[in-house]
Amino acid sequence: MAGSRFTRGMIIGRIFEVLIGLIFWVSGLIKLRDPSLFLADMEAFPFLPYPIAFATALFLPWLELISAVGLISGRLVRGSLAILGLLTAAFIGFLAIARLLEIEASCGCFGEWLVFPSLETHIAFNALMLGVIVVLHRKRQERDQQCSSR
Amino acid sequence: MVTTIRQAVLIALLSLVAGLLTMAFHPLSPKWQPWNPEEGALSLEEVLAIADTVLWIDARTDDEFIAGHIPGAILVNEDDWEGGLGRLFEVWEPDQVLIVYCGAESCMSSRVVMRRLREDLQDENIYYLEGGWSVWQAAGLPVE
Repeated sequence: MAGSRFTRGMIIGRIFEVLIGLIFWVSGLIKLRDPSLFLADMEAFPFLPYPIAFATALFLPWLELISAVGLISGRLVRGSLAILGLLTAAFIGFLAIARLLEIEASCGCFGEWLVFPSLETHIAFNALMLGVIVVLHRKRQERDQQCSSR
Repeated sequence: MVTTIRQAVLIALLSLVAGLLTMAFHPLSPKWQPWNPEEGALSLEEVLAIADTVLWIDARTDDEFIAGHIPGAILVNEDDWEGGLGRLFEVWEPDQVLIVYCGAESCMSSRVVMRRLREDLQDENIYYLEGGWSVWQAAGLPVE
């Protein structure tokens, strides 16, 4: 591999970027199939004001889809990671509030395709994903800085 | 950092445009219909008064349903919506009133399922039980 443009770290990073992109691609696509169902899912959380739930039902699926495309294509990687990281962090907070208020409801994240056994596993899954996103963003930033300083 | 922000703003703007197009053209675009907690709510006493015409819909999870449910209830939840609708159509008679329940007052799935059934079945004569399964059990009513 000596002299190769791609290090093992870069290849592994790229694989994780595509994986994260695919997860959000599926998530966005499922929500976009039926935005009114996604709104109904969000209405199950009474602490979420209706105007925010309504706007989220329209824009969130596209944020996920476009960020996923940006990530998979390698065109808008840092912006995509930043958006997906913020969304995931906000979602963890959202689930934590639901847990504190003992609200039992589906988030509508993956429709009927992936149902988490409990809220705790759902939070753990998102926390893991957030960790991966933060690491990927940091690595990308370092790599871009190295490239621009050469 | 500037690159990150610039790219994120671009993605947000694209999403905004796509979201507006979704609102205008998507066949299942949400309608502006703020939630009213009173909408479709029936107390246990109100439901028992019409008990002869009620078909119960259990909106809880499969495991909770198996552990115990209101006699004759049909499992219809968001984990398997199509399957639940299939079971419902097998037994539902047009003169029956659908009453949805979930675990307790804090759960919202009964309201979500009620709304979705109202939309899918084009029938406003569908309600949810205030307090859900916990109220039913507290009243000492039969379980299956």
